[in-house]
Amino acid sequence: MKLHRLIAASVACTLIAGTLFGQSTIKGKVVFQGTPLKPRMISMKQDKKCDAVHKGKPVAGEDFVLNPNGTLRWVLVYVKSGAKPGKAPSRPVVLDQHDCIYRPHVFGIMVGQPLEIRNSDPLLHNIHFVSKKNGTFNIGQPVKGMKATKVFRAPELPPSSFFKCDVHPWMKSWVGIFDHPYFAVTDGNGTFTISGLPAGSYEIEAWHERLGTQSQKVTVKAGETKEITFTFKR
Amino acid sequence: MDLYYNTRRLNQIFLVLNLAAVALIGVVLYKEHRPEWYRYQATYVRLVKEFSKKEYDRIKEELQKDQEFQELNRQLREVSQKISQDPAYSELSERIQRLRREVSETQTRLGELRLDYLHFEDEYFWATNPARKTRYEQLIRAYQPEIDKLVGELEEKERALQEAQEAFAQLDRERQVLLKKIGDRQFELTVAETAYRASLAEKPKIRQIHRPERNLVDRCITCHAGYDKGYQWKRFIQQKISEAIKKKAPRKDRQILQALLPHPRYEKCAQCGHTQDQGQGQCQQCGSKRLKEDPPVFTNHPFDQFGCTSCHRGQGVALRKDQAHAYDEKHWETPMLPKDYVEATCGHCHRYEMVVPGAPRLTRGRQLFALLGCFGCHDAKGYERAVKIGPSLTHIASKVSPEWMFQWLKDPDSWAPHSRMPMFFLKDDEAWALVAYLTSVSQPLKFSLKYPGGDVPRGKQLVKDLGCLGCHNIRGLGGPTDREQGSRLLGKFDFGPDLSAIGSKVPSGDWLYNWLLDPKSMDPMARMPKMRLTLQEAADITAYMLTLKETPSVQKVAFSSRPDLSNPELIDRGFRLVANYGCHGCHNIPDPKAQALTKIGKDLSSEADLDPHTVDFGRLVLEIFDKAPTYWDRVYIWLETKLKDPRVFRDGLRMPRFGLSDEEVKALVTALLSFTEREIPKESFRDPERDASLAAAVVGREVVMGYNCLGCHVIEDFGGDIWHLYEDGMQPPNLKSQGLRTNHDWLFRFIKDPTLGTGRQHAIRPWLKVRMPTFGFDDETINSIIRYFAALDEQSVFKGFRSPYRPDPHLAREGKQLFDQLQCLSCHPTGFVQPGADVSQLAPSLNLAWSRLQPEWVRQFILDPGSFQPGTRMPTFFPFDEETGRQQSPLPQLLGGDPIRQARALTEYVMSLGAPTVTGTPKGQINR
Repeated sequence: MKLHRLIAASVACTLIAGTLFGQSTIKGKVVFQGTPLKPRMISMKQDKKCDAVHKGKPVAGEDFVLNPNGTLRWVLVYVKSGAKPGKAPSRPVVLDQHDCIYRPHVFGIMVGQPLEIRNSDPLLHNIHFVSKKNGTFNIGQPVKGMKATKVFRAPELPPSSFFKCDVHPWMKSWVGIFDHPYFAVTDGNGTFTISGLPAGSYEIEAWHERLGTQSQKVTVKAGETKEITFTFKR
Repeated sequence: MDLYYNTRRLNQIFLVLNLAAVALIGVVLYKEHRPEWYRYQATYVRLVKEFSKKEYDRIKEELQKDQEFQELNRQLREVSQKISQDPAYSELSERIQRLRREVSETQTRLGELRLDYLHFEDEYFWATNPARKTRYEQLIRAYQPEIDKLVGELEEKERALQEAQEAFAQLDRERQVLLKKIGDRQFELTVAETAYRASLAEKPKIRQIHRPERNLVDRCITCHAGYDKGYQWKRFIQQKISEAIKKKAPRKDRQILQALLPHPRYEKCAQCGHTQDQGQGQCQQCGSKRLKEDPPVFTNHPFDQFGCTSCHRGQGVALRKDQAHAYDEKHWETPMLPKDYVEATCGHCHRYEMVVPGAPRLTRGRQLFALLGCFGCHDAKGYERAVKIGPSLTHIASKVSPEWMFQWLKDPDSWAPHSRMPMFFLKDDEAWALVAYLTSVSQPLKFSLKYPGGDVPRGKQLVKDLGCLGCHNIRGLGGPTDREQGSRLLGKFDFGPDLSAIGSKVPSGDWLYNWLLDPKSMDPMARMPKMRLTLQEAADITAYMLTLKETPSVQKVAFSSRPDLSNPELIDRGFRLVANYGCHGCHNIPDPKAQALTKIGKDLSSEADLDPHTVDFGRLVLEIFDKAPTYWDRVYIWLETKLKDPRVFRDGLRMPRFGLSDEEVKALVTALLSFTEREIPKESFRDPERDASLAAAVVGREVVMGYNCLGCHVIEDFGGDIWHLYEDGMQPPNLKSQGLRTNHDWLFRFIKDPTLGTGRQHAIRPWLKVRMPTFGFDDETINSIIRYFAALDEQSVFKGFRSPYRPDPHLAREGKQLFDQLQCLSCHPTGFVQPGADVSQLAPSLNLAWSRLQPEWVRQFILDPGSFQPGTRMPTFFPFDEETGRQQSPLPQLLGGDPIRQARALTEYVMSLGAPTVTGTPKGQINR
């Protein structure tokens, strides 16, 4: 009998602990409705080396990428309010310059987390970071394989924080800087996953370079996985 | 005994009186012993003890809790132990000691020998006796080898010593690094401890700043004793204040606490631009430690030099609040300035400067004073050279119609809302009289060219491209968006007349066409420069201008019928009106009678020294006396009212209304309060007669303001009004560090003729659309501009004649390699650019480098472009390494990877571009 009670008690404890301290997940996708915008066509004639890489053909910009399943790529989804600040990981985020394009086109990073900026092209790029709260810097990387590491100090959202290259005006990359780890960028399927959230209610916002922002309120219980959908219309 | 008085009764009275006298003496003694200031000081001393104890404890506790610090200490102990056990350590330190001793011994011995040797040489030289000569020759020969030997020995020993020291440093390095780290961390604690010990000895006393050479005895700091303390003290006192409020402490106690707050001082973060209270150590927004005082007032004016009353005025020696502040003291002529006008005193020493950094309101006021042409009617010291601000009326009749003139005179604002022409409240017949007079004196004008007709859309595009909007406003073309309603904010599109309805104002195409082509041919005093328009361009712009007719939103003034304008009585009345209202102060009137007129207003040179009893309050006397909280406030209120509504005081006043916003009124009052004739201590006064670079800056600023260079360029962080109308890289240049950047003789040629004789509109950046005009300055004016830029960068203009710069060919060869590997050609083109190419990303052509640029500027700019031109697109190739704090080169294989040498080599190469060869033809032209 005593054993039964003990087992029952321990099960109850586990359950309560699970609901109290369990981590929940917000999953979802970003859908586009309406007539698709035309992505900016990039002609790289200005720099012969870049042009040669792309065989002289114009390249479609990543400012508007509609996935085959009708979803949007390069949408930054993040918890706008309700999240507690977290500790930054020491693992760096990589921003690569490859084939005269910034990769990734949109990304998130935490305050204090190192950002490694690489040049994988055998030609001159300059990384010109512009922001309102994190200052600016502008460094040249004339040699293939060069690296620079930078750290940001204040939370900031695009469009006020971005990278550009003054040698190649088409190159642009948007960065969201957060004091918490709850952010994601939609992939080739238009989906995103924000995991590790404590139970609570949050305001989730999605930002797209050309379509602006949308937000919705979500409440998650401990250990729950919630699915949400953002719809951008045009 | 029978007496006339009752002794007992009298004794009682005496007793009472005695007791009262004693009590009174007690009260007086107490008051004398504890005057007002004593309470402030007592509170201060009590709090400073509490504060420094708290700070010391806090820092100590933090250090004790700090894991890292404990870890460092532990490491230090370990390392010291390890080193002391290392046999090499003791051996090395012994060897160093021994070698040091030996070196010093050898040096002494060598010195002795050398002295002897010199003595022998001397003897040998002067000896007349041959035997003596031989003897000394022998001695010299004998000494020589020994000296040589000793020198060799010394060198060897010194080398050995250096080696040993290096080895020792290597061994000891770890410990030294740790010691430095620990020292850095303990620094704060040491400072706090010193402060704590010092605070224990504090006693209430009268404190003062005494500077006899500046006539200062400022005892303000007796009550405002926390004036120079930092941010932590501020927090501490603020906490005390809120506690006092919670406890409902007496008002006086709270006042004392308020007085103990430190002087507000701010710092700006160099990284993110965040402004915050000084003394926090790092930026509260981004954590950067690169903080700069903003505005940089206190570093240039330290408290112990300038005290308090230099800026705030008041009675420095007084120890009672009411006397010290003197707001209500009729007989103290320099009462404390109210907060709004405190910048006025900056202008007492900076008497002749239009721009006073750190005093934005004063600067704006003085700029408004010049911009609105106040000096047209009022004399004011420092504005003697100023040029009339209005257009010349020599040919007014051929420019506008009498009806337009009437309407303009009646109400300028109805025509152009930001016009600088003020409102004179003229009656209809007065306005017509003026029109009659001006028409009668106007001289006929013959146009040299006839307007052939042009293309409107092209003209509109030209107006947008060329930069006309730098001076003129045209509604709908990206005009004043960021401006306060109804204000004449400095510069910003309103320097020249508003052109939104120019087609109705000047209906003559011929007039516009000729004016656009060469303004000075029609008015030699015109400030509008020549834009070097082609005939076609001028025709197109004229066509566009003629389409700009009145918009319905412009409120029309009711017309009264036009009288006979040739009536001599009316004309004579017009002249009397000109003389009365002082039109000649701003406009040139082609009439000898009018040119003989003098300024109509009062001299404003001593406006700051106004005393309420000398001011005419007119019919507002009671109102102002009621409104003014203190005696001296009456002056400020009078000045404000006069500027806002000049004719309200009594009938017959002549000053027109300028339609100023509240902020502009405050700025102008600040400027007026800076015009003082009181004696300023010589140590503080900024006298252009004693300071050549200040004089250059003063004159240069007048030119820069007078011709609105700020409409297009950013100078001293002002201006750049049209920048937002152009893409990045297509804007007119920011002229920061211009004095360092270009050769002065090149700049002279450029301002004289921006095409540099090439016939091309843009000599440096051929792809620009915005155009640097030809101002037609005389040589002296250009020199004053160059001297001004030089003074801003602390350069002297005349450097003496020098032979042309000769780049070092060896370094230049290295520089060429760097130039290629850094791919500078990606942005800096040389020569012409293909039409149709995306030119907005290009940087200035370097083919002009040799004649245009100063090598030292090039070198510094290459090393750190951002600090010379904020926001420049030139990247830094030598970024600072966060850890070492040194710059790093991306090309370690060239010139030892040394950024300084690489920058020099690049400079030499860049400076060799366009440098003349011996035969005089430019060499080194490169093609992309």
